Amino acid sequence: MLKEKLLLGQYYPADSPVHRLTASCKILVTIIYMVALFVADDWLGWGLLAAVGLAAVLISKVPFKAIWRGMKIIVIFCVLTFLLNLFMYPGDHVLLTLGRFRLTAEGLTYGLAMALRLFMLVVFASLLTLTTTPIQLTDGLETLLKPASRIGVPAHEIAMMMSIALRFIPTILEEFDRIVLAQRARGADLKQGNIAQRVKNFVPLLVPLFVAAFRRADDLSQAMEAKCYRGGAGRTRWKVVKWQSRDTVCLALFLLLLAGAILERVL
Amino acid sequence: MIEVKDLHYSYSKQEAPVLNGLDLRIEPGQWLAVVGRNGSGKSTLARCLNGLFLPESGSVLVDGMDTAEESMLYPIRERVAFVFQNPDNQLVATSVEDDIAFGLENLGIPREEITDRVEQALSVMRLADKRDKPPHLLSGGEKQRVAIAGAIAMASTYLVLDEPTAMLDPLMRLEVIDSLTRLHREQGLTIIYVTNIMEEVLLADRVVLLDQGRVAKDCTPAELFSDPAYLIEQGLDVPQISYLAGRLADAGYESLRGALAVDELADRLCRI
Ligand SMILES: Nc1ncnc2c1ncn2[C@@H]1O[C@H](COP(=O)(O)OP(=O)(O)O)[C@@H](O)[C@H]1O
Ligand SMILES: [Mg+2]
Repeated sequence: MLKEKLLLGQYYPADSPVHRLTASCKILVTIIYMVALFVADDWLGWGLLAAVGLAAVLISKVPFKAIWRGMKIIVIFCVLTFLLNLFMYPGDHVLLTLGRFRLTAEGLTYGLAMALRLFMLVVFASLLTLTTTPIQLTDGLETLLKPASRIGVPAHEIAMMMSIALRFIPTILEEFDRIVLAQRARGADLKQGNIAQRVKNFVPLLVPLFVAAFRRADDLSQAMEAKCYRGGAGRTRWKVVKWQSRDTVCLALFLLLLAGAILERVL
Repeated sequence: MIEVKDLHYSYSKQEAPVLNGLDLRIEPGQWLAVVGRNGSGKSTLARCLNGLFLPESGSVLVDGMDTAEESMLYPIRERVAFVFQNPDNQLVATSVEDDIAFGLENLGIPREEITDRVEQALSVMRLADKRDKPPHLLSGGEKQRVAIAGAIAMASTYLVLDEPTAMLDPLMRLEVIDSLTRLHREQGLTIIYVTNIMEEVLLADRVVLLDQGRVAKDCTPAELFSDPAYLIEQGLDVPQISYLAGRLADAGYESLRGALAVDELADRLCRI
């Protein structure tokens, strides 16, 4: 069924130092790592970053298989990126000529680097979602956005929206499966025909889904109002995760890494 | 006490008003059932009781606080909790305990007190072992019990339930009803119970029948069921025993009128 196919709630429970880090720290670190990947411009930098990424995976106790499951499509992207750069990147050191295409040493290096960057970027990002529950992520995001709420960023509202979406995605997917079964029971054939026909067959599934979703939204807003919800102002946050000294250390290490990458590029 | 005075409400100007001069007083500690055919305005009335809908004219007073006064809205909603019909669409948070805490967070209650109150609500509703479960893994009955637990945590004095068991199977229905009777008995919770299931009406001290946006009948369940013909006219089910008792009474056995349970009817039959 659809629910299993989508990689939602792919949280991998384990007891590891990575799991124990505060979500807001992990979000920051992920952003820093991504920036560093793109700042770094030689194999020393990329190699070091890849090693750091690998170390993070090992420390997290998340098995490679769990990461791999979410990566299959990305690998295709990586290969495409590699090929594209391989043939398109301008360079002088021609290694091979295939008809109109010239394969250059620069293209090879750059293609490999781009593919590696993309790959590590996704590995690191999936490590974030694999070691952090969706609700912790939402909380972390709210914490990070809080300073921005003074300049009008609706931090609480964004976090609330994310958490409601997380709450209802499984419910709506279940509903979708139910509708598919109901249509099949009436003889609808969803897997036949060309793309246009299949898209057309999909419409009777989506219409009831949307109708139900709007109904839900209406009901839910009433339920929230009935429970005195009035936005973030004056509201308690029951479960607040405290920033620990290990978060500070982790953040400092990654900032150092980023500083190194910047220095290397500038010098 | 909740006092509804000459309440008018309509969804749009073109259509006839849904509530049309409704008067009702609900004493604390009561279990009030609200019945009436589909479209008679039960859900609309229920939503007027906690200020989700505001009167077009007339007023709703909760312990003296007027729902029309904006500053009173939150104190009113703290006191009047609401359980909706659809169990899927009223749980907001991603786990049972977070959902119970949701209302308390909104009220700005200190963290330690939230922990205590959530704990207590979990134990009263016997949900402690489900505390970390996400709502989509709960049964319908459990979802409704979580919704009720949220109300207990807010320390509400009135609980309005709009057909809370309509989408549940019979076993879950009993589960929900059980917890309600317990709360009513042990904590003196006032219950305003909208339903179309006549067996559930029997739980109430008092039943109000709505017809065209007005109170058409305000009596005890026994009185209501003593007139099966009227119930049918109002589009309601008649419990089989009441129907039998009513038919026998019409045939001349007047002492049988209003019997609600098999035993009761058998008793009275024996005494003839
Ligand atoms: N959101 C709405 N918009 C317009 N009309 C509505 C809405 N909700 C209910 N109504 C109408 O108001 C009347 C009373 O509805 P309701 O209070 O839900 O009755 P009940 O709960 O007794 O079935 C019905 O005729 C219904 O069609
Ligand atoms: Mg209704």
